Amino acid sequence: MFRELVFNQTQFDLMLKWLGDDREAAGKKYEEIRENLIRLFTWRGCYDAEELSDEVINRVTVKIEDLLAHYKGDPARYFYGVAKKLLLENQRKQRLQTPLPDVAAYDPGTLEENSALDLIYECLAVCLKELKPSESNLIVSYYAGEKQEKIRGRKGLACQGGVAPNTLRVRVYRIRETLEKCIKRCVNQGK
Amino acid sequence: MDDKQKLLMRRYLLGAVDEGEREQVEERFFSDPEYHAELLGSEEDLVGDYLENNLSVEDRNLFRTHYLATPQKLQSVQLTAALLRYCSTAEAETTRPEAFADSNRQSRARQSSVRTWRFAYAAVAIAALITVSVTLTLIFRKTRGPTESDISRELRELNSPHSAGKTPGTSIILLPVTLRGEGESSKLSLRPGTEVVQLILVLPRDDYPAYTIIIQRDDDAKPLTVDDLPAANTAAGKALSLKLPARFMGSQDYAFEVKGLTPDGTLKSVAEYTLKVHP
Repeated sequence: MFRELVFNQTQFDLMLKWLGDDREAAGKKYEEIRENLIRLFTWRGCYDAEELSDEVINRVTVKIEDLLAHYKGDPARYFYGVAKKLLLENQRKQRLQTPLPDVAAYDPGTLEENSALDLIYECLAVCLKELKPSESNLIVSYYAGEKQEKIRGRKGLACQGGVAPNTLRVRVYRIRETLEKCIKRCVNQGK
Repeated sequence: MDDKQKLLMRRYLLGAVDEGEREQVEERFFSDPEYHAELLGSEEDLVGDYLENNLSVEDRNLFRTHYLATPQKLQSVQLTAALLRYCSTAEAETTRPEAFADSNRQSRARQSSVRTWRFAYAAVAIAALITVSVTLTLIFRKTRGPTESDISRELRELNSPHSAGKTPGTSIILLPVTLRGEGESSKLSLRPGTEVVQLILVLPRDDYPAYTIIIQRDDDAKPLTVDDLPAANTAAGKALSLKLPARFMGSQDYAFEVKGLTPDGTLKSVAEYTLKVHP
């Protein structure tokens, strides 16, 4: 378990300023960096990816005065550097504590996977109805079709919406986040 | 983005890279927007290939052991599987409006009005053909019972890694004959209403990326085969999960031979199991 948020508002404001002069754009950049950190930790097999990402942000933000004075370069790369250091610490800690009870209890090839999928599927139908129609239409269209048809469909969707494929992917990612929360609630109720 | 880079991304996601390659991918993910987008796209493709059963045995094994190593990823892949299943249903087809409908609805309406009648005739004809052939097939099946190919197909579907499948009504753990002794066959009594039976075949060792199970019945019927099953961790140790349609399981003795798939594609015998099904 890491420490709670340890930076103050002034440091956070400075950190946003470091990410960009326009506060709104800086806020978006902050969100993007946090999402990328979560992805990185998840790809590296960390269970507590969100907690680790917040710890990276804590560590960077408390040093912000120094960074503003001395660091030259892309802030995102600095965040990545801190994340790498944290991964090493985490690996060392895991080696000392193994086996972690929660790691040992989790089985990726769980044999109950298919029955879980049935429940998720039922919940998906419920949760899609809770989205705005434009959102549910977008996500359903995004996942429609077989492989090649799907690729063409996604290009078509991006083109129709006048957005780049990556922007489309980010939109779908946000909708998925909402869906995942709703499905988690629904699955817990259905258990 | 060249093929070499795309392959590197896929290997990164499967955890099959060295430290230097891992840093190279991650550095670029954080600093190069184009690379960032490509890696996310590569991840989507990888998940799609897994769910559509387009990965090699080795990659599927890596996917299950590395990519799916956290509950978050498992949940995320399950959501994608549910979305793909939803989108492939007729319900989704009929209720799915276009995503950016507002700006395109008028032009599409014009195009669709021209096509509507042509499609309507074709749809009626196809629906009639399907109805007739389904009815005939059902009548035929009812009179002659399920064929070997019916059973094989259902077995494949039940045990496919991307199949949503049916929830097993009964599960039984089977130990290899060598571990429990030849005299005591496991016994199973099927409850009325059970549709699917799950057999958990505990492996004496897990040396192969995938396994084949050959099912032999004592009524001299042709053996049935289920391929490409990965081992999974269970409370009883490494095991294979085999799902069987209960309606094809008569009261008789069954023998299961498990074979491991070697890197050169040949099968090596791993263990044998027996099961006696009661009425």
